[in-house]
Amino acid sequence: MSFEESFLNEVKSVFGEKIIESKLFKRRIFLKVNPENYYKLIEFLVKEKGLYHLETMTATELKEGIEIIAHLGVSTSVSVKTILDKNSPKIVSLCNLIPGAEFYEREIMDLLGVVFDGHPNPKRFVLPQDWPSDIHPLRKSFETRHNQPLRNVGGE
Amino acid sequence: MSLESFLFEALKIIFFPGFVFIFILALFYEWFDRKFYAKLQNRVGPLYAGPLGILQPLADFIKLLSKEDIVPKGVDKVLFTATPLFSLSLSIFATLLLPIFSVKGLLSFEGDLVIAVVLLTFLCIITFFAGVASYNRFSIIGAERSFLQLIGYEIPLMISVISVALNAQSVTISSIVSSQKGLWYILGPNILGFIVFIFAAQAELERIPFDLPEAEQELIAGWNIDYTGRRLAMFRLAKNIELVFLCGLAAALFLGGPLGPVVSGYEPILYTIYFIIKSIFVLAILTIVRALFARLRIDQIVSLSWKYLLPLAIIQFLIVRLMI
Amino acid sequence: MATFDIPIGPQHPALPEPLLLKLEVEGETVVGVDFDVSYMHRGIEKLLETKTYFQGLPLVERICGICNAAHGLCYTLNVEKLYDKEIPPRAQYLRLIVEELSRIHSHLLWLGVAAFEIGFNTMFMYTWRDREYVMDMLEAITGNRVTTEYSQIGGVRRDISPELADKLLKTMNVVEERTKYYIKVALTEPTIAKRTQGVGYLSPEDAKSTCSVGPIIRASGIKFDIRADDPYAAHEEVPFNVITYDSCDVFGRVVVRAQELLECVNMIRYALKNLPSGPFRIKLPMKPNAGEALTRVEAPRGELLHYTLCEGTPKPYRYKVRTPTLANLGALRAMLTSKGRYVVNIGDVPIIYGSIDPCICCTARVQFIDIKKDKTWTWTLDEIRNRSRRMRV
Repeated sequence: MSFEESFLNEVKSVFGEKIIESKLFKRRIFLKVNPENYYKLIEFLVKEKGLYHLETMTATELKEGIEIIAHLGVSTSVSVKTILDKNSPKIVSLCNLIPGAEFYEREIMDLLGVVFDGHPNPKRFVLPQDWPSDIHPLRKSFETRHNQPLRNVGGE
Repeated sequence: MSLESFLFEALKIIFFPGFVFIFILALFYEWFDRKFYAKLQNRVGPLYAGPLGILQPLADFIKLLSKEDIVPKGVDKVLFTATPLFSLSLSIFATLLLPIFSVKGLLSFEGDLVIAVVLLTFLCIITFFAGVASYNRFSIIGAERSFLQLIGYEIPLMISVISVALNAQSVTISSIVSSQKGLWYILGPNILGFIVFIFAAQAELERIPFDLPEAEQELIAGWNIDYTGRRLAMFRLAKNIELVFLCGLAAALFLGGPLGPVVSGYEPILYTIYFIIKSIFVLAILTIVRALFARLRIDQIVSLSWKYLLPLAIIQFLIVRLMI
Repeated sequence: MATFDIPIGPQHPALPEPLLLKLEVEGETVVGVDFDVSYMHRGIEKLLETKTYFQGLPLVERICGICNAAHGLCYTLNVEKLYDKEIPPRAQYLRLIVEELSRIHSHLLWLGVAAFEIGFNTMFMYTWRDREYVMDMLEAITGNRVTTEYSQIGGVRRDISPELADKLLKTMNVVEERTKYYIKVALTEPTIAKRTQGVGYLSPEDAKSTCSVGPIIRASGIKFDIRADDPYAAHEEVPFNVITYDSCDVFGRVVVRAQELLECVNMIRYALKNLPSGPFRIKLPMKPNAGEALTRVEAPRGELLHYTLCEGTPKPYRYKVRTPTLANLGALRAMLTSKGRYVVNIGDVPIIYGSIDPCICCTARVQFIDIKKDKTWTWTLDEIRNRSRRMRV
């Protein structure tokens, strides 16, 4: 049994049916859970399995909702997925668990409009400070040739 | 005074060794500094203006003079205009004290060494006022730093100068120079004092490793951040003249000034050549120091001055005291 | 004592990247810091969704001018995962060679920039001059000095001829010799030690919790290198040491990067000697299989991550890039605020910022115009070089 399979078995022995879907590749594990189990699974991975390193967080707009992936891991990369409601995406923040998650969450906040509960510093990050708050560029509804009105930035 | 001798004196002040000569010398020293620094770093340095780029400092000066003169809002207009002028005039005045074409400087008088050292401090205080006048965050920090630095290097500088004066039993530059007819002080007992003087001069001139008041990577341009056009040109010229002054002072105090083997009848010319050679030697040392070190932090500069430069200067003083 | 804010950036001589550091300063001491990185959002992830995988490569290479080799490599490895095809081993070795070369050039560049940040211009000039050897080799191998675009989907763009391999080995000797000299300078020069030791402290716990990557976390004594932990290209076969240093400060980062240079040199030598024969590229169809892929590459500044979601169309449904600098921002804040363990001076800010490795581009050739004689001429690099003192290869 490969390392990935035994790892998955260990996780499943704790979470069982809560893991909705799992995919294994060489040194890659993809797990899918419901939003309510998302934090618990990551807490388990960080505290019990020693995956201290949060590589990044990806958010994608799928047809069924907005998918959040937290990529964890040092050698083997474990990606925890969950799908949120498209209209009011909201999930608990990982910042208490992993302080390094702050910037990744702020990026997702800007680009896809996901709300992170309990984020310590929910400010604009990658988009300009005067960007309209209801436009999220990585949503599929945002067109790349979107006609943005020219902004007067002031000055002389 | 007859009209002829009056005219002669006036020509001396205006042309040689007065304003024009100092101006040319300042630009030449800047060119030498830049070219030598570039050579030490495997660069080409100034190349196009004149042969080997020797006119580059002049070109820079003229370019700055023709630039737009901006007075930002919120500056103290009086100080903002006055400090470049003061800085330039004080440094020229100080340079006139130097013995260039004879053992006596153009403005030689009893006790002029004291005035020379006081002028150095004044130049630093003007830097401080220039920084405060422009009322910019970076310039205020730069001004603060130039003062802190002054606290560090001024006392060792003074002690090293005093030990030279003690050795010569005089506070007049011309008699210090003529007392070195036999042996230059750098070869004799004052070698430590020379080292202290070099480092203090580097700090006074705000060059690496002591260029904190205008550290580019930290404060962009430090105290002179708001100065443009004519004012900046004046500051830069004043800095270069100060460079000439400090190199010349070191040459006069430690290297026997313009003294050297002379053919009678050609003394002024030979003296001037010796002066330039010796002060360029000092300048080369300053440039090497600039190329060899990284910039220190402000707390490190103050502790360096008090932990190493000051004891060195005091040891120097004691050596001289015991020898007399 | 009253505090006031000092803005550093987005335009600042020491920080060439558009990042605004709002420093809260008490006298000369930094007591607080805030970031603003919003000046340069280029929308590359969105743009990649409108291009096919093959069209996306040139765009990905332009995310960063300095670690473009790492970006290109990461992208191609990532897309190849969607195909289920074996990539020829010769291509993997060649990729490793170019990646390590670009790491050498990036680290030499960083050494120069770090020296510049502490006002040591001479070292800056020296390292950048020696970096030119590596740039020349990159140009000889890939055809380009900066944006190399060497790694292609399915292999690499060109092969290395035996003569070129010889030349590369000779250059490696020079680079090794120069690197040893720089290590000596960096370890013995008193002002460098004064400005870097104990500055920008990042404890191992903070390094872990802020998820920092690359030389930053290795300088805090944690063995974390994607080349060893998650080998890609030919890293499973080429032996190397993961360099760590436990001083947790800027000095440690200098040492780690300098020692890594020697490791890179040895890796390139090994790879050239054991270069497998065979094809260097295979053809792959336009349409990859549906699925998702995640690739991590050790870029010169740390772990670089690419993730893609493909629905079986030639264009990606989602392409995600995480650059090492973003991962190191948290560490940068920890270093700058330092939570009372030591005092951060304004003078330390540039070198602390520089220690996470900023990045600037460079131009290749210089043009001169003489207006009076009405003549224009160009100096090639060789002519410029002949004007400066230089060791001959």
